[in-house]
Amino acid sequence: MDAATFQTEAMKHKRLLWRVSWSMLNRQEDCDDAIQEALARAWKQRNTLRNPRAFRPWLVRILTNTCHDMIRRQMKQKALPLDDEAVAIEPFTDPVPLREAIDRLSPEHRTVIILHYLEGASVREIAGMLGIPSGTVKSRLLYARQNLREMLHESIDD
Amino acid sequence: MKKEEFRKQLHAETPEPPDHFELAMQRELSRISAEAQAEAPVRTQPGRIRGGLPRKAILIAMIVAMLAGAVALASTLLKQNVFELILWDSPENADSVIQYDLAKESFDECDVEIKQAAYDGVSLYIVYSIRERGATETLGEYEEETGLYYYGGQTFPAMERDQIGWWTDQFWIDGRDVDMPSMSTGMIVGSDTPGELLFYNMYRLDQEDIYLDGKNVEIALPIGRQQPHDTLVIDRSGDKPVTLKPGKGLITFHLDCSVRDGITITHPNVEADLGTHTAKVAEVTYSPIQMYATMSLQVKQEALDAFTAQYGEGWYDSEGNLMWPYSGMDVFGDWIATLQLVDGDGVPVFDPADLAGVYGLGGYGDNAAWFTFPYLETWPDEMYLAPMDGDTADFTQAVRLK
Repeated sequence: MDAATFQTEAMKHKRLLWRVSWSMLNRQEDCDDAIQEALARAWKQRNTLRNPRAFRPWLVRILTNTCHDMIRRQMKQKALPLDDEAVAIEPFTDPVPLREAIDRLSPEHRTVIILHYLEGASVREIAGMLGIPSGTVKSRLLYARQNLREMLHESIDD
Repeated sequence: MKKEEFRKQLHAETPEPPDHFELAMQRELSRISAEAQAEAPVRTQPGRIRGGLPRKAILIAMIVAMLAGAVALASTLLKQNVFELILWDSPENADSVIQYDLAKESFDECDVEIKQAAYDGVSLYIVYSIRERGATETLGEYEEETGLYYYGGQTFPAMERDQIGWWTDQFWIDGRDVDMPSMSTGMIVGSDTPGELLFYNMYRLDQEDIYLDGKNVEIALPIGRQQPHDTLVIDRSGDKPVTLKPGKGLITFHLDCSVRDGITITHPNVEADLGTHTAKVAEVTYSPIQMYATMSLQVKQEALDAFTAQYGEGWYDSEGNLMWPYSGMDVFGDWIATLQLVDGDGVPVFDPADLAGVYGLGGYGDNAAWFTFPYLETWPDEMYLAPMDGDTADFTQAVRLK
């Protein structure tokens, strides 16, 4: 793949790449760093992509790995609470606005919700993009919907 | 909340890419472009490109590629079979399993058609269309390279007015409800026909332990007039709740699924001790469309203990909450992701780059992993799933498949 094609293909998926990085990192400045690092990694690994039709999941996979690395780096920089110090989640007596509910989801749950509902990606596609088993995608979707239902006071169809 | 309603709300609440994100992308892409220009190879041997072909061979290759492109384009314009979008290729046996034009039902403004279906002994493939009869424009964004009309949404106004489209989780086979199986996939595209959306789907029925047989299997999809969910009747008398087939809202067709009579299934079961875990290929199905392999896995407790001693208790979210503890799949995940199908000499049967995004590792858990590979008429006499060590397989970490 030449640089011009790489550039065109990457820009085609600008919105998806933004949504994935935002859903995982939830901080706009971090998203800028993540996409730059992911594009650099993807360009270096471009020879691993022989089927241009697989560009989208291939690039998203690299981006999610990059985001995971950033999260790990951030976690190392701050002390993790011990289990018994974990903050208990209070039941939501009033419905929470959707945006706030999405923000309250874990990055893993937020990402599968965004990919599935907003991008229309199937479980298998998401598994391919995130590099996790399909069963894990299904369980993350299930728990994410359960969490949203508790916050929104409304269930969401599969 | 309906899926489509949630999607719309989510869309409204999700921020669009800000300018600085686009700028960050453009900056990096410009840097890559500049780097590529600086590194452009100098052609020192007239008539040859680096690692390439003599000029005459390139010319022949170009003509062949142009002819192949013309054939591909003609094929696109005529009809894309279900495999071309699900597997990005049409296996040589495609015609022997695909059945066309299986059902049609008309609503006030739209027609719904089951255009293609196929069963390969493991997976069920279906293409259905929803078309607004009075439409004058095509749906989706046409991409010349692939000949596809990419479509982001899942409905259009006439479809909503007719209240049609997939409306519940399950579908029904011979009256039995089927939950959406793991590793299923699908794609929605427009077509050359104005107002038409095509829904390409593949369902891994084996993941729900469903195997079809017989020449007249009844398949009912919930893509007719949408019915209230509270009209679904759930029978909870057995071990597992069963959603009874509703009387309305389905499009039903019959499919010849007798292909399973002719496929080969083997159970190699040659266990390999790989240090941290044991593995064996428990089942291989050589279908006329794909080869499916199921691997059984068992992590060793001491390996899991060593892993947690080194890396901690499990996966944490960004706020430091334990999401789930480490398990076998974390221990052997890196190994499993590197496996390739190789022959007895350790040579890959397929170029891994050609499998990307479609074949290869489809999913894995603590006790099993699922692989698929393209159809071959003849397979090597001896095959393994193995990581590569340079150009050849590392047989110390291999699991025998054949």
